Amino acid sequence: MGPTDAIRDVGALIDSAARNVRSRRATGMLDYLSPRLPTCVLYCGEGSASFHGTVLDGLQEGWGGKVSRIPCVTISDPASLHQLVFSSDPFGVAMVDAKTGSPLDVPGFQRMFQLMMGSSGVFESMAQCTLFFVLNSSGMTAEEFSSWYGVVRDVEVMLQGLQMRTMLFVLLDNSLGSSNAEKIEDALFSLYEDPQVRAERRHLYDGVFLYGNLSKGRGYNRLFSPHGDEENGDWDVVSSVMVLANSSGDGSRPCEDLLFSSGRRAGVTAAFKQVEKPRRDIVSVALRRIVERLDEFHANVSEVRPSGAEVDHALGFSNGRSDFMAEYGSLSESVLNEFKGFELYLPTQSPNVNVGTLNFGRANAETCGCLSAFVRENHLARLQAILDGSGDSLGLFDRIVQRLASSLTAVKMLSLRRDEWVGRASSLYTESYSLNMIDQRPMFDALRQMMRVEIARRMREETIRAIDMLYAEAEKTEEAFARLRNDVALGTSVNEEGTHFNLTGFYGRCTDAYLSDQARLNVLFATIDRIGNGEGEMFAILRDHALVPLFDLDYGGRQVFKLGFMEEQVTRRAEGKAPETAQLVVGSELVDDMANYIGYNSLIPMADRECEAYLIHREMSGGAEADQLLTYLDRLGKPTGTIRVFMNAGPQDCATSLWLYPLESDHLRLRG
Amino acid sequence: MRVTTIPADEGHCVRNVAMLASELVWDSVGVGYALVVCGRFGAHIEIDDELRAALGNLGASLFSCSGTPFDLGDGRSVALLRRGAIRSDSYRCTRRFARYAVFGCDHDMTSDELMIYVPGGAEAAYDVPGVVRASVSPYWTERGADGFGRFTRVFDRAPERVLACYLMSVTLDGEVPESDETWLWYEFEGTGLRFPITREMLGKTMCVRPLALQGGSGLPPVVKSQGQGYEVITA
Repeated sequence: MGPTDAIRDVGALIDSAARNVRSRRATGMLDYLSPRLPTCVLYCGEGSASFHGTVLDGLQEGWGGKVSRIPCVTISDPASLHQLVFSSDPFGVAMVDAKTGSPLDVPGFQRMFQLMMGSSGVFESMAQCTLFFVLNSSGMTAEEFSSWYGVVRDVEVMLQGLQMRTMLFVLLDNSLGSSNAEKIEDALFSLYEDPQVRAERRHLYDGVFLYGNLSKGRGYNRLFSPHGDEENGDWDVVSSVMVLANSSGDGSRPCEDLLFSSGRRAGVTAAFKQVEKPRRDIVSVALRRIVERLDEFHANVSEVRPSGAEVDHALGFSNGRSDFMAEYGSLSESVLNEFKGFELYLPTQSPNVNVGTLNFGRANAETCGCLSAFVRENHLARLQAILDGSGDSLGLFDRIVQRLASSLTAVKMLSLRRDEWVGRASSLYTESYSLNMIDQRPMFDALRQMMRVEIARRMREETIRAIDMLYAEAEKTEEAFARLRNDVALGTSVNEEGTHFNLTGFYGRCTDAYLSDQARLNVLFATIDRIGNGEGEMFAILRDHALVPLFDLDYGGRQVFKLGFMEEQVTRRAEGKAPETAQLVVGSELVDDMANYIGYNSLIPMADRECEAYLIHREMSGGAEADQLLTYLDRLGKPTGTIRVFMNAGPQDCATSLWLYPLESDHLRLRG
Repeated sequence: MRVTTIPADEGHCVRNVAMLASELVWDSVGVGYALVVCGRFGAHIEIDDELRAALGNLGASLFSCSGTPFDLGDGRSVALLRRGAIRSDSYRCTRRFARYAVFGCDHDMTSDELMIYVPGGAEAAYDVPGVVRASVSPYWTERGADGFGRFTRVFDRAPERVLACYLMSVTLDGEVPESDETWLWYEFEGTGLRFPITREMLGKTMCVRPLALQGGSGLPPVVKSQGQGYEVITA
C-alpha cells in the first residue's frame, strides 16, 4: 500500500472507514425489482440537481443496472426552456444530462426518451412513461417556485405524443434563518386553487409529494445536510418514493394510486425512518479494540530495553563490523585511482626523490607538507562529496537515518536515553579506526587508512546527528501516539441499546480474532509507531493497514463485517444471546413514533396513513432473517384501510419504513 | 592629547582613496590632517577606543614625525599627515596585503584635541594586494653525469642535456592569509589538478617534475592564486 494522506481526526477516520463496512448486494439482475414504466428524473435547477447522486444511488438499490436506461436531466432554468421549446432554434441548450454533465438540446432530450422507450426487457410496460420532477425549493421566492411549477407544460410539449404521468417532489426548507417553506406552501396552495388549474385537474402534475426538513415531534432532519452519496439519510426519501411509485409487482400498485392522486387531493407527504446497520459504531468498536491492543503492545515494548545486538544493528553494525564500512570499503580504492600518479608531481626538496616509496611521515616532510595538503584537498574532499550524496544517490546521513528508522520504532528508540545511543555510536566508531602510527606506514597504506578513518569519522558524526534528529522525532511520535490513544478512547463510545445490542462484544471478539496473529500485530505496531509519524498519519495507517483489512475478515466462515442489514443484526444478537429477537427490536424501532417523523407540518391534524411501505433487502442469505422481520411487521395492527407494502429495495444495510399521508388543501392553507 | 570623533560631512571628509604606483592617494576636503590607519587586508577599520587611546598616548610624536607609521602592536599601525606639506595627500605604503584607511582630522592646539572625522558609511580605504613572486626554471642534468658516463666516453659524444625537473621557488610580499592552503597552488595547465603551496614551501626551492605528456617535453608547473588579495608574478 502506498503512502496515504493524513486523516484529520477520529471522526473523519471513522467516517472514512465506515464506507468500507457497507454491504453491497450481488450484481445479478434477478436480485432487483423492475421499474414498471419507463421513467425520467428531471431536476429543477442546479439546487435540485444536488440530489442527483443520492437519487441515482437509491434507484440503483431498487432497480439495479436498469437505472442506466433512465434519463436524468437538469433543467437549467424554466424561462430559457420555455423560450427554447417555442423558438425556431431547436439546438439551443437549456438542459444538462445529470449523469454526464453534458449540455442537452431538445432533440437530444427527445433522443434519450426514444432510446429508453426502445429498450426491451427493462420495463414491465411501455404503455406510459413516468416523469419525476425534483424541486428543491430552498432559497426560492414564491414567483420562482411558480415558474418552476409550470415547467411541466414545456416538457409535455417536448414529449408530445407520449403518454405520461408526472409527479412533483417539493422539498421544503424550514431551516432557521433561511426558511421559505411557508411561502412555497402558499404558492402551491394558490396554484392548486387556481381556477384554471382546478378546472383542468387540480394540479399540473398527477402527483405532488411534499417533504421538508422539519418534523413537529422530532425537530430538524438532515434532508439538506451535506453528505456522501453512499451515506444513508433523510435524502433517501426521494428515491424511496420513486421506487415505490414505479416498481413492478402488485404490491406497490395501491401506493401508486395514492401517490398519483392529485385529482383528489392536494398532495402527499411521508414519515420516513431508517434503521441502519450501525456502521460507524462497528468501526468505532473495532478501532477502539485495535488501539487498546496496540497500547498493550506499546506498554510491553516500552518496558524492554533493546539488546546490545539490536542497538548495534540499528547503528549499522553486524557482528561488530560496520555494514556501511563494508559498503564504502571499495570507495577509498576508487578515490585512489582517481588521483593515480599524483605523487610523481609533488614538490620535493631534493631532485630524484620518489615520494611514493617513502613512508608517509618522510614523504610529507620531503614535500614540505604538500602531500598531506594535497590529500586533504583532493582525496578527502572527493570522499566527502561522495558521502554527502548527490542526485539519486543517497548520502551517508540519509542512509543512516533510513537504517535507524527502519530498525526501530519510536518507543524502542526512547527506551534508551539519547546519551546512551550517542555513547554506543561513538565507541563503535572510535574503537576500530584511528590514525595512530600513520607516519610510519608506507605512503599508500597511510592514505587508505586516512580515508577509512575519514569515513568512520563521518559515520560517527552523521550517526550522532541522525540520533539527535530521530530521537526528537521519536518523542513527537510518542506524544502523537498518546494523543491518538486518548482521542480514540473519547471518540469511540457506542450506544448498545436496542438494535445496537452486543456491538462491543461481537465486534470486539472479531477484532481480537484478527489481532490474535502476533506477527500481524507486530507489523501493525511497527507501522504505526514508525519514527516521524504524526497522529494524522497514524489515523491513515489505522484505516489502511488495520480497519480495511479487518473488514475482509472471515469469522465463523462468513465475512462478518460485510453482512446485510438483517443478517448482521441476527448474527450479532444471537452471538450475545439477546433476550429479544432481531425482528422484534428492528420491527419496533421501524414503526416506533412514526407520527413524529412526518416531514410536513400543518395546523390541521393528519389523517391516518394510507400506506405503510417497508423497504428491506432479502436476498443476502436467502432472506430468512428478512422474512422473519416481514412476518413480524405484517402481524402489527394498522388502521382500517391502510395498505401495507413490503418491497425488496432501499439501501442494502438498512431497513426503511415509509408511511404515506394524504394532504388536503387545508393542510397547505393552514400551516403548522 | 585628547582624541574625539566627529561625523564626517561634505565639508570635512576624505574620499577617493586609490593606489598610484606604490603611493596611496586621496582627496581631502576641509581638513587639516589625514590619519592613515593600516590594518588587516579586507577587514573593516574603525576608530575604536583602543585606537583613540593609542593616538592619545602618542600625542605630540604623531605631529613631530608626520608620515611615520607607529605600530600599535595589534596588527595595526597609524600615521598622521599634515595637509599642505609636500605630498600631503599621498602616503607611501610600506605594507602589502593590508588595508589602508584614511580619515580627515583637525587639531586644536589650544586644547590639544585631535578631532577625527568618521564617515557614516564605509571608511575611505584601499586594500593593497600582496604579491606572490614565483620563479620556475628548468633544471638540466647531463646524462653522462648520472650513470651513463661510460657510454658517452666510448663513442666520444658530448653529454646529453636532460630536463630533470623544474626548480620552483615562491615568496610572498605580504602576510600569509589566514585561510588554508587552498589559496595558493601550482598546477600543470589543462590538468585541473591543484598542488597546494604550503607555508613551509615558501622561500624554499622545490623540485617539481614536468608533467609528462605523450610526445612532448613535459609541462612546467604554473603558480596560481585564488581570490582577491594576491597577485602572482612569475619570473
